[in-house]
Amino acid sequence: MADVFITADNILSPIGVTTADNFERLKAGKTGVRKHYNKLLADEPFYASLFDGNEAILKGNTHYTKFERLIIASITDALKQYPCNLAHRTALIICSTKGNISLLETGDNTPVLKQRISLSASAKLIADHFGFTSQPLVISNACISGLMGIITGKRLILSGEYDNVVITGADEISKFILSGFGSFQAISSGPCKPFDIGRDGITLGEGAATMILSAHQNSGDDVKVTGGAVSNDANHISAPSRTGEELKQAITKSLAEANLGNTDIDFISAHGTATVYNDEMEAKAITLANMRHIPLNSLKGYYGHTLGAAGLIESIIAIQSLKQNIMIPSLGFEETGTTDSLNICTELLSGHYQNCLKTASGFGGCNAAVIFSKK
Amino acid sequence: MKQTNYITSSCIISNHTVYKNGTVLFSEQAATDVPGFLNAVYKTRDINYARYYKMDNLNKLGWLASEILLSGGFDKTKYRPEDIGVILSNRNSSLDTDQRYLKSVADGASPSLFVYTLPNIVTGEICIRNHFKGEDAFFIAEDFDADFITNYVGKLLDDDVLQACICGWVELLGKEYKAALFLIEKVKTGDATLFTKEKVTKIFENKKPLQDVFIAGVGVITAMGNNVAECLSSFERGEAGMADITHLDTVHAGKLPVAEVKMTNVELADKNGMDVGMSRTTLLSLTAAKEALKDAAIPRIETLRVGFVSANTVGGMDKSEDFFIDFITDNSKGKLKNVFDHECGSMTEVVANQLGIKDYMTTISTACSSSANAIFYGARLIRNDVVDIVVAGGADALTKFTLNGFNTLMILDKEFCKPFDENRRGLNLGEGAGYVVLVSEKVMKTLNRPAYCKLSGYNNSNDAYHQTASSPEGTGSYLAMKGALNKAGLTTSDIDYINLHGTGTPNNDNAEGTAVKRLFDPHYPPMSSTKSFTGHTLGASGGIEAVFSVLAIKHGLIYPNLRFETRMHEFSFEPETRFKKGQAISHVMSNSFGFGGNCSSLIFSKI
Repeated sequence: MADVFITADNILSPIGVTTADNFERLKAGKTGVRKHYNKLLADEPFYASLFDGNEAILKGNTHYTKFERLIIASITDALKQYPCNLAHRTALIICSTKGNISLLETGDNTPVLKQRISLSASAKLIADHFGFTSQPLVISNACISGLMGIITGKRLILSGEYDNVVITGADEISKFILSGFGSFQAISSGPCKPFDIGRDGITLGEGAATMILSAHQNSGDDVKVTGGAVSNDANHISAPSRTGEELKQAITKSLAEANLGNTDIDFISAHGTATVYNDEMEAKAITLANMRHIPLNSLKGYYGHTLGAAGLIESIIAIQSLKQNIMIPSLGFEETGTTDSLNICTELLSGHYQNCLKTASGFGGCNAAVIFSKK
Repeated sequence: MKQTNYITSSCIISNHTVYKNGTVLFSEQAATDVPGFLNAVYKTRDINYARYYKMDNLNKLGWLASEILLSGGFDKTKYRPEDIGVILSNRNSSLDTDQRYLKSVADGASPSLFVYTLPNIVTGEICIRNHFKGEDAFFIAEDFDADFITNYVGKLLDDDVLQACICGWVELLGKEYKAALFLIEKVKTGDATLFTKEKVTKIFENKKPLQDVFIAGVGVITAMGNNVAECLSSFERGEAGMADITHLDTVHAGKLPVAEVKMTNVELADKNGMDVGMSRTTLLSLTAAKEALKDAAIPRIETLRVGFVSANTVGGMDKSEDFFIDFITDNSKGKLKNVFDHECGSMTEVVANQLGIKDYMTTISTACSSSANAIFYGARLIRNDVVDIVVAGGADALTKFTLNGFNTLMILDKEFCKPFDENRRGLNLGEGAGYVVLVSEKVMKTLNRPAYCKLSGYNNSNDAYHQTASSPEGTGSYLAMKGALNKAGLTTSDIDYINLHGTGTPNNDNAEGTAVKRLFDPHYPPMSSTKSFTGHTLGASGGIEAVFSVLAIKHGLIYPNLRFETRMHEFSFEPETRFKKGQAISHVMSNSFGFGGNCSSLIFSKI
């Protein structure tokens, strides 16, 4: 099978505005999660990783929404690293769960507003901003959206139809989203604690990320996407599988595609939302896949759950880990809190990393797994 | 590896109607709102699935579509759960429920609504119900992208990521909704169709069957009669219209027989209150078109959209020939008013104006199939709701131009023509006009007397062989007849009479006969060429013969093929030679084939 290279990437988060910024600050243990008092978003104080609104990219009077400005800034940085011809054999994939939904909170509910809210309207604006000539694809597959974007992007390259695929994702944390997860009693009382015995829910976060996949290498140390698969639990729309069998299926399929065995994986970047059920299910799946000994982290303690962007942000950090041979510890973990104990990374690790596994699971029962490899 | 995949089932839910594999399964136009309609659909399923009542409208729609899609034949046990996927798309994501959810926030956000604020919950519900554990994805696009879906899902199957996949579109926002689901498998089952962009688009568009087109009136003028009644009377008496040339000023007078309309230009102009300076083509056209419209007697026609689609091949050539007599001697001479309406389109304009038709007008000129094409073009205007009524047909006057032209092609018979006879030698030129009044079903229901019949099938195909000769295999004729049968949903055994093109030239009758043999052998319906009465009226022939075909159904007639003596040695069939009344005629095929390989067949059917 032909290679698919990651030739550029960007993370735009409250922690930093480039991938390098973000990775340096994670190494230093910096988190974006803090307590917020914002009556516009929620009646009670809450923990989240949010932009403070003073960021240059979020200012200025433009006709783009916050969601679109985040994406445009993120793509702009990625394109600086790998300026590809957007008018020729280059696709754009946008991943988001709720896009411009915050417009519904303040605007009059008119047909014009409904049109403006739609993700395809944003996609068109973004594509036109940069001059993409292909029809942009929009993926809205709950919390696996970002990984689904990478898997779809990889397929587009392998189909031979495209040389480059710009995959971008973002979600804005709005009253809509906060109140929703709140109604599920799914928001943590403090900063989230993935896989910990004391975990009590998710911490939300906002951010954007972009990854450019290419049929050709940009620099010698480009990491490759070597496998990816998606599965469904067929169990419950808002609760994960009881067995973890389906996520394990996705892991097994992606390993097979990458032509790797479970022992070839050097570390795992888990979904680790810090809800009781998600982390329990993931631990079961990883155990079923015979991978519980492999060092594993969740980055939700730094970024919160960035929803449609999560798969991309966390993949890009995993790719940096492969490149720099440094693994970021799982923030918020102290004591095993899952039936099957995992090898949770609690301090900066270094090693000779070749391959890593990234997983995600979401509402609707969807699971995704992606494998990244150095050459 | 690109493989062949099949759409083994499809389900469309839209406009308060459920379609399975293109057929209406259920319709509830009385439902007051979308949820009411969806619940009515659910009740038809005769199942008890408690989760249904928890779903939001988008999920109910998608889930119901999937239930219907998978019902009746799909055996999911053929597949492992992880080999079946669900790939869906829509325009407005979950906006319908997003709005509802946001309203609930003020009074304490509802978790049961919030969970439905993700579009991919639809794929989740379908997976839960059916225990499908393969890949599921949800794409947002402004419009259904058949190209993307067929490529993407096709690749998932080709790469063995999946073995079967439900894919499609599930959109719902307020009162607007549409579900279009496709089941894609690698193995062809039953009436499966190929999984291609074109098929997917066609199923998705789910256009309602086009409406029927009825014939409400007919009008005709030929050498055998100046109107419908006179022509029918000549048929019964077996009197052909051919004779020595009397009106046309030509050196061939007395040598070549033609089928001239008996009325002079002055008589025609007087009858229609027209200037005698008009082209004879226009005068013939107006005479027959007027008769047809009068015959149709459509109530309140002024409130309806009326079109005029008229064919001819020579236009005002007769008047141009007059002009040239002076002009050729001195190019400062000649009466220019003789050529002002020379071009074919002028005939149509003048006649439409006289008939008071303003909504649609066009001219078709495709040689001897011209007016058959005008009729089926007119039918398509009605079927696509462009107009309510079309007067369609054609006219051509005899001119020196055509007579000399056909003479140089050496396909004129110096005697009266003998179509489909072993010893046929060629055609006789004729002139005339024939029009039918096509009406929509809505108009047909307002008529004071029953419509004649309906136009049930039509096809135009090209012979792709030679400019002025037909292929030995009769390719174009065969394709036209077969295509018309397909369009009408009929088989050869349904045809009770064929009005042949049957010009009487060795080449046409051989090619047409071969095509008839290929299609009908060994069971031939009665057939004849009425050109043995009218001569070949070129651009008018399709219209004139359409009128005769319509009358054949109305009165149960089969027309004789005059002067036939000897069966063609190539064939085991021969044309009908007697005039027959009181026949049971339900379906008549009328053939018109023209130079340029332009072949058309029309089928008229009893209502």
